[in-house]
Amino acid sequence: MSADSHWLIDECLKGDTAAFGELVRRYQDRLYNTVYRLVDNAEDAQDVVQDAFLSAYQSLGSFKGDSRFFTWLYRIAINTAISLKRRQRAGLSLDAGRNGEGGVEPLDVSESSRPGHALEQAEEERRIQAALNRLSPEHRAVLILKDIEGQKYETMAEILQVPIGTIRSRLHRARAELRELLAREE
Amino acid sequence: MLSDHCRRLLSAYVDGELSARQRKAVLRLLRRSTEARALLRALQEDAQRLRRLPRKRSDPEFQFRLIATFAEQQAELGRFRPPSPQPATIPLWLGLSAAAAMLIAVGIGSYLYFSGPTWSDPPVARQSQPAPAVPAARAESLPEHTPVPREEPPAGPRPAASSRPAPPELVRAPRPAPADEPDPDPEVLASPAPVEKKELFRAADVQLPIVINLHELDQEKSRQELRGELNRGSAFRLELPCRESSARAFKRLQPVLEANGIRLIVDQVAQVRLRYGQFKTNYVIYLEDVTPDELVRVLEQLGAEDRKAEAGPRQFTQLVAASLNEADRKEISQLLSVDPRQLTPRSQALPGVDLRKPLAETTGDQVAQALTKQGGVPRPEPGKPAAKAPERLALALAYNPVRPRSGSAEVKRFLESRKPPREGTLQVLLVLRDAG
Repeated sequence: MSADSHWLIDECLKGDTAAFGELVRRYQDRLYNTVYRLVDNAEDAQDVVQDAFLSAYQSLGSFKGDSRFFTWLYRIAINTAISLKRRQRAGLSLDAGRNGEGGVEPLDVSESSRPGHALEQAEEERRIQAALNRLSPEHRAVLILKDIEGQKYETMAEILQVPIGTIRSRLHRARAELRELLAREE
Repeated sequence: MLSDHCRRLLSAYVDGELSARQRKAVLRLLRRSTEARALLRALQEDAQRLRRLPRKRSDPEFQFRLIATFAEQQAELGRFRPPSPQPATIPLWLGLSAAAAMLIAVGIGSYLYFSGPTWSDPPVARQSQPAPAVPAARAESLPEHTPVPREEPPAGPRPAASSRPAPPELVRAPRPAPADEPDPDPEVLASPAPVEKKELFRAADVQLPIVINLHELDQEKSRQELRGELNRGSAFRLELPCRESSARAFKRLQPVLEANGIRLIVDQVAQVRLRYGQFKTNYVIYLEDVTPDELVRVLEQLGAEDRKAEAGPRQFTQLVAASLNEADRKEISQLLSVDPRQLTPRSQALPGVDLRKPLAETTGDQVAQALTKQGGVPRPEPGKPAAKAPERLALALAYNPVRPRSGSAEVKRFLESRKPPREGTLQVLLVLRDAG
């Protein structure tokens, strides 16, 4: 863990809210992107990230520094997101239409992009996100961590608290499933 | 048909997480199997499509809502309590080693302290009874007032407590003079032994900040004092502690700056913090190309605005002005994400001038001619108001506890619009510190 993060954590433990604010600022975007792709909803993603930071703050005293702070924080966030998705799957979803709303980036209206290209991108994103949503939370998590966040197997195993062999086999099954879902759409 | 094992290998090949042996096996497979090549292509395409998904960002206000939520939740719990740290576990061997080392150090130190040869003034007991006779041979070699053994009390019943001899009184024995030492020179003894002159301290050039009451800048004396300080350097840090709220102070400062031709570019994070005024935030305003007179005028007007009753409660108190030091420059470069060298103020000396050469008689005319060709504010003619300074940009950033995002659009806009500053102008870092 970098000396800088170490210092920030020490300051947080002393009650320095500014230091905690800095940790939030540093990690919120990466965390939010991952969680958003897991839950496919901006509001849920914000709730999950908020809960993750809150839990992390409460548990900061037990953080031993033996792993990177971000890996630890990631673990909390992904577990929270997976729990949320399991709860949502188990119950009837009255807001089925909410999924994806408010989460799609506004169309890029900069001069450099063609309007048609922006629409294609949005459609592609919708298609892939829809396929991701149909995977199990565990499969979705490994695909997002590997292909979107670019994490190594070792880090993923640390985040998800499973052996590397499990990561390999989950990725293999997740990719096969995703392949099948995307082929059906096309 | 590819086996499950081969498919797993291909999936791991896409991730670059194979051993050398496994990679060779996959390459052999790809060479001989069309199906494997097709599957690999599909897996790679799917991975690319996932990587191309746009990155989602939370809105800029999310962070502040998050911290506000924490504060509310902690308030419900009774107090804002930081998480208690777990007691650090120190290995047993480390603790024992440290204790042993300390004991050894204390032992050695005590030994040296009590048995050293420089201990020459031992306290001795003064005898309250007459000393017995000392053998002559021994007496010759003994210095004066050497302690002698106490006489044994007479045999018989122990005397009553009241008649017991008084306990010996501890006095210092005078230092015996060495036998062959000549009489010391009283003059030498009177003055301390000369010590080799060493430069233990050297004078440090410390520039102390000046502190001025902002509301007293309507007085010429205060303005002169500030002007004098600002004329001594080319770069300054001005601290303005804000009584109530730095957000309100900022909103008081901004129109004053704009009235003096200084337009503020406010970074997005600062904009959000200003909107949520309840968050305690410090702000910095970085500006260049402002003369000492212009800056004094701005601060005077700020003090005047602050004093006005209709403006609400006063936000400012003191102004602390200090020269910009290296730490400040480093901080500015971090805030703006620029190389510190880009922020070095222009030297006030004219380029190419050799100060060692005496001035020529025509120098005055040449300088006047050169200055009239330059831009900037010409000296006003007597009786006429000063010419208006060109419009300048200043950058406002949130400073603490949050910082601007690196590569912020507002910072870029400011940096792109920077122009070479006029001669004799200042570089200023103005800090609004929320002391409320």
